[in-house]
Amino acid sequence: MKLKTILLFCLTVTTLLPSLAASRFISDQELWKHVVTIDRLAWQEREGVKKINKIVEDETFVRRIYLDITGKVPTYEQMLSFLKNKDINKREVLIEKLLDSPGYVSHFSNFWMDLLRTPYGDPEDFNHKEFSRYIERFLTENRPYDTIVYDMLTAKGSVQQNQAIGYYMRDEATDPMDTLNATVRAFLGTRIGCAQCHNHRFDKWTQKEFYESAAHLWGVNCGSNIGNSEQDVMGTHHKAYQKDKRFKNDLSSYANFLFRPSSAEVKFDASKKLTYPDNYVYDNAKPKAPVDERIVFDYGDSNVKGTDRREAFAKWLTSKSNPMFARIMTNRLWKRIMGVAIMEPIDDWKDNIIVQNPHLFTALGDVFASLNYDFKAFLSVIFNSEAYQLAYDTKNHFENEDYKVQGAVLKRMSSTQIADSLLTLQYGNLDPHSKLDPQYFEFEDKLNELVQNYKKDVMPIVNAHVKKHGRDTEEIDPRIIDIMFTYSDKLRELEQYYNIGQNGFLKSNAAAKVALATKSKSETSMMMMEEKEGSMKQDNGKAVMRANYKSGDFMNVFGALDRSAPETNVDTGATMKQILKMINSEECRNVAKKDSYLMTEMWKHEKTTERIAYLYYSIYGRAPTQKDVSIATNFFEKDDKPERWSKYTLALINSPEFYFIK
Amino acid sequence: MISNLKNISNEMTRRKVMQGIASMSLGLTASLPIHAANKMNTSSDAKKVVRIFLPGGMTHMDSFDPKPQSPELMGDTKVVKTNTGEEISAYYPETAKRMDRIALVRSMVSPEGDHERGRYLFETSYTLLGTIKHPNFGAWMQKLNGVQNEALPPSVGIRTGFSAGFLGSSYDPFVVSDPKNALRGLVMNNPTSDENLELLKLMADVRRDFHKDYKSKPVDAYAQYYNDSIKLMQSHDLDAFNLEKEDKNSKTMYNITHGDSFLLARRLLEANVQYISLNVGGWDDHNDLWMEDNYPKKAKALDKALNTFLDDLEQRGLLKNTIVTMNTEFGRTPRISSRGGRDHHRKAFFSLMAGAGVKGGLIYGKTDDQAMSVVEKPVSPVDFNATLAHLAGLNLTQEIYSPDNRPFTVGRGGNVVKDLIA
Repeated sequence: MKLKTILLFCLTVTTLLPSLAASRFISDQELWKHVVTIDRLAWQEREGVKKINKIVEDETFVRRIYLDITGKVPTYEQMLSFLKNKDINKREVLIEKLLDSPGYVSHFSNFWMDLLRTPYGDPEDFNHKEFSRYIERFLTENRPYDTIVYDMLTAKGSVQQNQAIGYYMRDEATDPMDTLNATVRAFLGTRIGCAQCHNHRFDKWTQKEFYESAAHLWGVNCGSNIGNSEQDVMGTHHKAYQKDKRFKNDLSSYANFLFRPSSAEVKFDASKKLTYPDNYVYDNAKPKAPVDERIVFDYGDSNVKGTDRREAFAKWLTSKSNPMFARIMTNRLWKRIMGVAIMEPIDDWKDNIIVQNPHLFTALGDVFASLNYDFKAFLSVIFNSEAYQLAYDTKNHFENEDYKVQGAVLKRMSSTQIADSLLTLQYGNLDPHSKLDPQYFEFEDKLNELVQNYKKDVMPIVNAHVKKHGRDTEEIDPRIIDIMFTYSDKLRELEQYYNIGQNGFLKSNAAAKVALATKSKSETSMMMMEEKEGSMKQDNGKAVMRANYKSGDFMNVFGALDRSAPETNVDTGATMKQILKMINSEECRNVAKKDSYLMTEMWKHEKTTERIAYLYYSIYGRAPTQKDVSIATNFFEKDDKPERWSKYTLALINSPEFYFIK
Repeated sequence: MISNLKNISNEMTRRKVMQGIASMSLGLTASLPIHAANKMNTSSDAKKVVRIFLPGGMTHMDSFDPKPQSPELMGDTKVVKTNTGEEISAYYPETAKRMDRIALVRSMVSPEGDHERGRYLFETSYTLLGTIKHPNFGAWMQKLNGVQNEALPPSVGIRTGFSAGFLGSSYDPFVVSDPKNALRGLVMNNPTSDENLELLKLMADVRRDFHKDYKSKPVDAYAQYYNDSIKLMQSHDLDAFNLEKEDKNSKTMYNITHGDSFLLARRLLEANVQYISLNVGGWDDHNDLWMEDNYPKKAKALDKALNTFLDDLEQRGLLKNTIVTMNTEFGRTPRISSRGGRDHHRKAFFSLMAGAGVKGGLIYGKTDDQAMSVVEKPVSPVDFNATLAHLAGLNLTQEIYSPDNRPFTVGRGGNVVKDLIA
């Protein structure tokens, strides 16, 4: 009798509890504890605010969650698999699965590259490539936020030794004052930059305080560890190596990492002191006098010490005693996901700022910190909350200004979401096209070691060659060529060991070729464009202020950020050019072509009604209505050959229903 | 031969009428403009600006500031007499014949010796910084003086396109990477064909319910722009971008290197596009400057293209309302390098101006006998831009605020060089 009661009790408990399956990122207890806190603070204890809309139904949920975590629409198959699933906790399981997928890394690397101003570089630009790989890596490994920022702020060495130096290399063309400015804005959500030249007009920062802050990072030197002459000589020898009879053209483009190695290097010289400018006008310091670094912000523990002033600053910034560090990031993430921030503006904190829901604002930061800055754990909390899963109600909708978490906000897709969704329609599941398998990272680590050894062996000879012959010489030193062949053999071994094919992708992944929004087509800087006649030389190894990207590119037209400042606000404003692109661009027409993934899969269904449903699910994430079907049947009366279906598909993509997220 | 572009103003009237009808039938309010146009600029005085950029840093000695008195520095470059009694490099004979319409500044000095920073300074008048993006000149023109032709982009970049920075994307230039195919991916080839009309109708049908059910500010904006786009595609406004529509004579005349860029620029000027920037060539001649296929060939092509363009503008009466400038980031070292070229030299270089309000036949400023430094009347890129802004009728003291409330002006307080003004 007792046993039966116990069993009954257990059964009841298991069916009532949301889930007992442990997530990889967060324990059940923690997850639901935090979810409850957030949901409570979103509405309760707030006068006159309550949730109005219901929880969103499955169809809308699955499209929304795929877009918010992986940055692209789910395929028809992915939708169906979710919709058919009868598990009570399928939403939680899907959230975890998507956070664990390459899609998360791809989508959130766009977020980070926007925040860190990673330029859209020339694909041959190794600095850009390396730093964006660094970002993909820390996202794949789910490294904690405090570690990431600390590592970037204290980075030094060659790019082969430490990819995090890209954080400083970004400002190679200017100086570490820009890096400090960007750091404060990105991670503390406030603007100290105006005070660089004079006391801040509208806020409390003085020029002295700016200099005291900038002094922490002063002494950072971004440079090139291979001189221009040496690079020229290496280039000449590389050409000779390719003409040599031993040459086998069987290596992937990774060979360029080896034979055209990036020369980026960051050094930190603590003995270099920042001085007040010559034209300093205020009484509180003397022009040209050395600046003593000081934490000028009144939060966090300014007594924290480090082995040098950069480290001290990094420690102070990322410490748990500094609540702003967590709160600014969680506010950014909340805005990206929910569409409206809790604190606005998200990166211009002033003392008199009024936060709409201060309890929620601080609680989000506290949750993130209590999870030890684990992004996937934190994001699990947000996505599993009721606040996130509320529906958008067309009868009860509110413009952003009135948003108090009563329901979901209707968002337009960001430029990267549109681009990647179109690519998904064109190619199907994009995960295999990314280089996010751990094997790539292992290979690249070994490659970086190889490059360092190569440089150790070859540079002394190259330097001597330059001294003897100058830079503009056709003289070849056969020893350099021999070293190149030694190392190309080593690279070949590495590629074979890690199964890297000649296209740079794993051999098991031969179809991979798609460029995701992360590595978008917005390529070169203005001055690198077009030049067929009389090309300008690119400074090898020089950094990367290529925040200019081709105006008119698809992503730019849809509001891709130009990465000139740390920014995570997406621009989703409408323009006429966007419409013209949707109707006429190759990006859209490719989706409708007969051989696209979408068309090929659709064609496998025999009946017209099935095909229409396939398209509606793929493009809008819902079943077609009666009216939709009748519009289609009328249209296909004339004929229903492939070209007509292409036309129909193009028309469907052009509805805002495709690029809005309900 | 009157180009068909003259029909544009009629086209606009027709468009407005059609818009009205369409708006009523779809219950929409008046359509939004293609770009930010806080005001129209219909003044007959309104100036247009064409900025030619020579990326790479063109050598000043081998172009407009030769020093025959220092033959050891001249390389293969010879001099030729201009029709104003001066001497310039013999690589520019066409320009020499018409120096009376050119104002040449020989005393440019820049603080920047780097391509990106140097170019940025010319484009924006401000210094390249890691944390803010300043607007380019075209964006300033649009912001301060409004728009001269509401149907077309007010700022066009041909093989180039600097962004509008903090003014936002509605001030960005319309970039043309291939002048022969300027609207690729943006328009239908035959928008009023039966096929395309059918497609457009289908598009309207499939989206109708969404617009009804999800009526909200962001969705409505798309509805309005959708209607405008259709009309734009079906109008003749965009013909300005179509080089095919040009008459045979012009096509022949512009069948030269860089011809397509300049022909497009001329067509756009006729259609009242007020700011056009062009990238012409690549001039970073660190090596082998005098090799036949290199600088001599490039200079000849530029010389021909520039003067074809200016002749054409003159003939069509466009030059009197257009200011044409030609800039390069910096000059090149008088000393010839071991690789037969010249390296970057920011302490002395040239700029050119021509057109509306510009004092033609003038040579302003002077460098020393080696073309190393400026000895008279230095002009910085900021001064040059301030002068250009003045010529274009822009208010040099009007402050614009960036999103974080910092004030900027179009000329950044640079000196307007009065002598350059007629």
